[in-house]
Amino acid sequence: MKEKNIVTLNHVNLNYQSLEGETPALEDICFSVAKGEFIGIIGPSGCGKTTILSLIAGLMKPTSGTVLVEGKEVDGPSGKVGYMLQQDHLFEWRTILQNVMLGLEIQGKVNKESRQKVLHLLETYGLADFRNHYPQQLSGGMRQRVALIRTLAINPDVLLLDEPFSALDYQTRLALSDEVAGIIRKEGKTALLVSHDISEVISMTSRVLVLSKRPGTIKSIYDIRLSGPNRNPVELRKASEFREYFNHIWKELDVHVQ
Amino acid sequence: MSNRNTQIPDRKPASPEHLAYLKKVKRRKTAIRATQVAILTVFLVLWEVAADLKWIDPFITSQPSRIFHTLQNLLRTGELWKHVSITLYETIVGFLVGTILGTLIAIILWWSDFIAKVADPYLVVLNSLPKVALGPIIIVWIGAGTRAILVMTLLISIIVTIIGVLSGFLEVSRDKIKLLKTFGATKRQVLTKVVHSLPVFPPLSRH
Repeated sequence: MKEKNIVTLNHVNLNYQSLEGETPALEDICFSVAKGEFIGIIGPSGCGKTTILSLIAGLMKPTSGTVLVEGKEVDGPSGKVGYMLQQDHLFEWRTILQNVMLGLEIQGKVNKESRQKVLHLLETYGLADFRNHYPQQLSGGMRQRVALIRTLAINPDVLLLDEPFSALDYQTRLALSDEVAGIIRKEGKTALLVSHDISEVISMTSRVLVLSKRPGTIKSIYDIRLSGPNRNPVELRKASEFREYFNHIWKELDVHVQ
Repeated sequence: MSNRNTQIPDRKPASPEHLAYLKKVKRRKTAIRATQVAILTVFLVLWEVAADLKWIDPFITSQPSRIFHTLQNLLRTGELWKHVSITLYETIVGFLVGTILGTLIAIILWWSDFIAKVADPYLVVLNSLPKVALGPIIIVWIGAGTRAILVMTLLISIIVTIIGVLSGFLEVSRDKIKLLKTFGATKRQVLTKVVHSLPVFPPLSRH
């Protein structure tokens, strides 16, 4: 059983230290992600969603508990995990191709084969003609697509998406979430999506973890089963079950304007 | 960066409103330049007249016409170029060394937060210290001449460079650094890939 789970968090606690004292950010987080699964994490702002991703990426260490990626305890960033941030953070002085090669450069894996693979990815996802352009010449949606390919270029086993669409306008966001879901399915990647957008999470992922307010604990887990002929997130929003999931999670989040 | 193709919108024949707008922009530009020239002219004329009428002492403040004559004499004897080249040499070497050393020190301070925190009050004091005030001390130590001038230039430029370069380094967004770290970048790679954002293009896009 263990082999099938790519990511496992076991009783993870994390406290932030500061001069004012200790702030518990995560409390007893336990979950695992199977190979090829697409998981959503949703919760009120400041509940530690991003912290969970940072732990899996190896940017932080838990105060107690273990974080396993492919059965091994995470000890610093590795090539196994790809992280996509809220903003694309493309480097303006690099061309699209050079931007996409960044991860490979850092890991010292630039060679004919990896270059070929990157060019192939750009071609598959309609960016080949822009490979010698600079980021400022591209639209926001295209830039975020480049950022995804930059993450895919290092061939990670797990993709972490940290509100990757929140900086985009609504239309672009819908179109891109469709595309990203398609790309992830096509590349057969395991992925975790952190978002505060309930519809986005329900339509894109197959399992949703709802976190409580700080300190973040897992409040509930929803297995999402949407019926419909089409697997596109935009189409799935029309499924009859969608409303139900939405209402459940909305109640669970217990949002109040204070 | 020359291969950026910018899209040129379709040019329609200019409407009378657009022509009027262009004319207005041009007239404003001319007015700004004319005013700048006028201020300089008035200043020079006033200076000349004031010295002639002994409102000011030309022995101390000189006079545009006298400066012009001296310049002519120096040009005729060829001495002007000698002085210009020495001054130029001192300026370029002093600021070049100051910039290189200052950048190196800034890199060290960026690298070690501890050293940066320790150095902070000293940098602030050195920065507010008028370096010209050290002139006499430098001349006593090193003697008057090219070397003293070089040290002076270095002192003036190095602190400003350290503070300027370091604050530039620290302005780099934390998320860009986070991005590099997710790829497993070392501190040296963070420095070379993004912190010194010099456009160093690796030969990647060859076919």
